[in-house]
Amino acid sequence: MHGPDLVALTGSKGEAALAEARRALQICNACRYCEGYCAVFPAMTLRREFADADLIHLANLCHGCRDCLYACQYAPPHEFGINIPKTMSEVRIESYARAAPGTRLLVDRPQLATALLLGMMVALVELYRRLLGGDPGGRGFYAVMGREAMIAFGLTAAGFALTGLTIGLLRYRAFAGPADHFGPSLRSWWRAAGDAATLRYLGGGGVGCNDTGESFSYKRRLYHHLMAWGFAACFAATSLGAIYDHLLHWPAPYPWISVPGLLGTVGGIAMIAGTTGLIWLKRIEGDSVSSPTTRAFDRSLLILLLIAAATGLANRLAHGTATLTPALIMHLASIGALLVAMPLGKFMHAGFRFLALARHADERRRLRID
Amino acid sequence: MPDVLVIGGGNAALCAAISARAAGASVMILESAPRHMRAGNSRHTRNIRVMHTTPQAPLLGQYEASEYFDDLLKVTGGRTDTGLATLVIEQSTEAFQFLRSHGVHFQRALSGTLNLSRTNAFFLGGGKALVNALYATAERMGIAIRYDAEVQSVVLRDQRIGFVEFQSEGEHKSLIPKAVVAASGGFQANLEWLGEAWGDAAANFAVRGTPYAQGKVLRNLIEQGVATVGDPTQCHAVAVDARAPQFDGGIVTRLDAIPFGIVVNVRAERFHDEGEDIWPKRYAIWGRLIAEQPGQCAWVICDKPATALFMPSCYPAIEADTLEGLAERLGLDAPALAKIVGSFNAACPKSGFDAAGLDGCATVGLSPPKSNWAAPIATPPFIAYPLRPGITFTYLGVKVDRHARVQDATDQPVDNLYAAGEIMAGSILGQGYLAGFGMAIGSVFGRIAGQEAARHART
Repeated sequence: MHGPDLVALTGSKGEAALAEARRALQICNACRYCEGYCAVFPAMTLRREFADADLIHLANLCHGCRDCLYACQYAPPHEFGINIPKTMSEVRIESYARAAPGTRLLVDRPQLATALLLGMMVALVELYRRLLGGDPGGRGFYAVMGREAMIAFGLTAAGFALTGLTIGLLRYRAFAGPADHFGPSLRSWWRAAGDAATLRYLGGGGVGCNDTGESFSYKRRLYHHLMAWGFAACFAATSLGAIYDHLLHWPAPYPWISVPGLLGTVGGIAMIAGTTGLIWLKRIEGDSVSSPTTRAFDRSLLILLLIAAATGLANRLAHGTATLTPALIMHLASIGALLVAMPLGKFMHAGFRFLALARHADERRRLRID
Repeated sequence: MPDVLVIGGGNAALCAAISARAAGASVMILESAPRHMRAGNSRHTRNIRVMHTTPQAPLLGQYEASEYFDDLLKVTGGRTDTGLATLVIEQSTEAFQFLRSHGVHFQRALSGTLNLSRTNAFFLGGGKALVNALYATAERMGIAIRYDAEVQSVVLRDQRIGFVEFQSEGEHKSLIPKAVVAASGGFQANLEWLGEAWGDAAANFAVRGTPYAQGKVLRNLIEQGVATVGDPTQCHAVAVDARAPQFDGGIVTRLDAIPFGIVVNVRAERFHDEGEDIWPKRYAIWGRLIAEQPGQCAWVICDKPATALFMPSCYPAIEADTLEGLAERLGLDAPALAKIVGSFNAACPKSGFDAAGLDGCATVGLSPPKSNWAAPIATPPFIAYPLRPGITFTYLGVKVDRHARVQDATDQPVDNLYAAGEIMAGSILGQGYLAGFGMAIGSVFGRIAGQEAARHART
């Protein structure tokens, strides 16, 4: 009734998803009733034929808000069976997989891959800890794992993430176009940054999204903001801590009432709230709006983020107690797993969507749609 | 037992139900379709035509009643009830605000697909989004809604509706409401009924909208002697892609290619001027023209460059590198097709083609002529789309007065029976079609019928 799980059916190979997207968009392009909801439909109308590159671009413009599904007179069980959010989520998975080969394992076995990744990172943290040891006389977590060990571990994971993300984005540019010009203008990048920072397209053109069913809400946007801005605050706390520690020689840990302390605590709580909310939304949505495969794949990133935030807070609370050692190891391992998973998993949507938004802003500007 | 029983579940029915409930009546809706198919042809609509003397977001500029009325006269050729038409036009502004205040969202004026932002307000997401919003409002207001509930008879005795019989969950049920609003649409999905006027040809029609527009209530009322309006043999039909589903293909199956090619029948003969006038004006004649061709089928033929000039179809074009190859794929006689295209090409002027407007670029010495956009079909690949008639709605309906009261054979109002939407639209739109006017009639008369029925029920 609700269409097959194309990713599962074709062993995470995307040909079926791309073919389905092509079929569906041909029908959408003859209808265009949804043009007011988001960027996908105006971008679609600029094309009459859909190459794989176009489909991948449109899929990454899609934020999965589902307004078009609930408004669609051709949605299943209609014989046309149009389900753009579900189809696009399956094409997005194909784009992640094309950008990084390791993605297939995260798609096919998300729980196993996440657990493996966490286990490997625990081992790696332990390895660095054993090799480089704690700082003699170091305060707080430095007594558990020394400065050098921590930096070495951090550089390993961040280096993998940065390298992977760069390769992934370059590959995306190669297989999703645009082939006809050198790239968006500065103004288009700026506009894309605004659209991404505000999650403009999780607004359903001003009515909200069908997050939980037929009624409209801004829940997904709220939870995503909590998660993403919470993540940014934690990242800022860590960066500021590094500056204090290495440049200002004000050694960590920092008190609760300090800029890094507050950023980390508030950011961590926001991340827990945001990821929990997003996991809940995934839990209540049925197979009619997404396939079990895409849900499990998306959830693996949310779970890593949730673990990272929770262990970060636990780490703070464990300060000065015997549980500090396991809390620190788990926190570092989860951050490591998160970083390593970034170029392989759902996190890639941040980069791809940003590129898609910039390209869309550029297409609009060049064709003077605004 | 509800005070007001609304038969039908589209925009007119919902406007009636909400208005009646707001006026204090208890209301029940009987919708013959299941929930996912609810709301008849309203599901397939996109906009409402609204009079306005000052800009009202998203409507730009102004659209005065006189201009609105002139537009209506042009399409109907005068086949309209002036009093009722004026009523709809004048109350369309209020109806638009009513929809908005009951949860319907409108799309901000875009420079996008259609250039109607002055006269028509577009529903954000289209008609299904509109009815979703109105159903949500109806549920919130405590209106009882029964899906899969098909009314069998509305029993008229002594100038009033005594009781209503319907089928629901496999059981025969009846109700004795104080007032009834019939908003159950036309009979365009009833191919047997269409066959009374069209003969065997009707079997080859595609029904563009809901398969639930069977006209059961309409026929039941006519059999009991209520007054009718509109030509019983007429329907609004356009050319749709012949691969369209028999029912419910909606907007995406229509083809706008005709002005930019030629149309041939099964004998590879042209039969009408493809470039007669700008497309929106001629859009509606092609359904009838194709219905009169053998097998009710035809093909529009053009070349690749022409495909950039019309809205894309939801079905792939049939393509071939040669006309012979195309004829073979279409099952047409190849020499005959080559001959007709050759004589058409020879009759085209050398220059003057302009897709943007009536270009006067006409064939010379060709019968039938192509009066505009006559450009040779010469650049391969050659393209074809199969066509058949796609019926949108019927014109036959019940006659109402300005209070939406249904009239009997002696033009006396039935005491407690009101009508709104397509079932009565024939008095106002007796011929032709004006974009967004059906929704204006449905919304305005829905509101009137609901208010009047509630008032009747409460006194």
